[in-house]
Amino acid sequence: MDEEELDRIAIERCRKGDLEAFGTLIDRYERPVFNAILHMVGNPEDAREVCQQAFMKAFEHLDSYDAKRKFFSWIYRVAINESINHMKARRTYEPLSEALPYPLPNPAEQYEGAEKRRHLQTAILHLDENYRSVLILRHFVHLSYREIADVLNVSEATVKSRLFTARQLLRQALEANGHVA
Amino acid sequence: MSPDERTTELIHLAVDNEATERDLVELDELLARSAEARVMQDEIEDLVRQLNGLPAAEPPHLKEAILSEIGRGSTSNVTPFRSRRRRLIAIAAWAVAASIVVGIGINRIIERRDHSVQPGQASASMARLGVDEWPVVSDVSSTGVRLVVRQNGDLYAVQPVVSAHAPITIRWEAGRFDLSEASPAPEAGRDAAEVTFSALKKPATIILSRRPDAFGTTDVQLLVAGNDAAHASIALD
Repeated sequence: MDEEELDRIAIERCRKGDLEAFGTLIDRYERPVFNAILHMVGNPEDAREVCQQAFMKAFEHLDSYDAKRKFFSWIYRVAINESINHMKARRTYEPLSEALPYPLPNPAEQYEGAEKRRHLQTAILHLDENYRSVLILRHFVHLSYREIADVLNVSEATVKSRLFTARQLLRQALEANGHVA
Repeated sequence: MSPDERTTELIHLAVDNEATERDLVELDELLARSAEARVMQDEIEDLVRQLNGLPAAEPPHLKEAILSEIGRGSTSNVTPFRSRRRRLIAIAAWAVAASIVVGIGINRIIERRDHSVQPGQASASMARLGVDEWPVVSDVSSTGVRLVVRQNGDLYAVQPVVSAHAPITIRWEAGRFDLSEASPAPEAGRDAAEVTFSALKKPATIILSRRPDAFGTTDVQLLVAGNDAAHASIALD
């Protein structure tokens, strides 16, 4: 049984009042949804809050979920919208954190790669939301162009245009900081 | 598309495993002819390696907290991780939101007394669920009028608020948007690039769908009694 079928069964159970079934959806999607939100909002505490809000909003609106669509498209869309709403609300009083809490694989990597990674994270956080969301869905959630288009309700041509521009902007930002991408 | 743009596109498609066999053959030919293209390919591949190499953060394991909140029936109040300041801001925001919801609710009750709901209207309302939660991309005000534009992907919700009891028109650039739906139903002057309401008895929402080839910046205009009242500038990229 594939994940889409498992999602469909879980949603049916949720709609009949089975709360534990929603727990299985959280288990399946918390990691990618949290990482997508973390790179959108740039702050672990905010990401935790937005992630919780996104799942609760998804539960609240489960009746309006169209079962013909993939659940993951829907939950990522809720997550991206919640992130954008959160950023717009926060923009007036708090700057983005520029250092995300990645686990570091080994001491050598910590020494050699930390600065480059920090510049890359900073450059991602400074991208416009439209570019950032496409980049995140591609590189941190590993969705195809078609799946990203479905999540963001845009055409595949728009996905390509935004993704290519986002990468170009990242390359320029890294070059400006002396890191040739 | 110039050869450079085509080369760039093919390199991106190839690194994303989205290129067709034909694309790959074309890319090989372009790379064989251009040292610049080969440098660009190396740079894009390096960037994509770096992006894909960023490790994933460990999720905070929110399942218990979420299920507990849902179990308490408080799905609209997520506060456990907020600071005191944010809690106060949230409370203030909820107070404002609650007053708006109450206002809209009263308005809808009045409206229901005046009009029977037609099947088409009911389905249109269903499609618009959640519009008020779309992120705001433009919010302009002047004396007695306000024009809010929200965005959800390629859909833009235009929400005019006018204090005067006068005909209003929402006009947009032809070729940039298609009219997706409007509520309440426009009463006059509906054509390819504008809708007109004789007067608004309840908040109006006009959903515009961006055309796939529309980029850049465009204006949505609000006219009251035929006079220019507000312009919302929208970046389409």
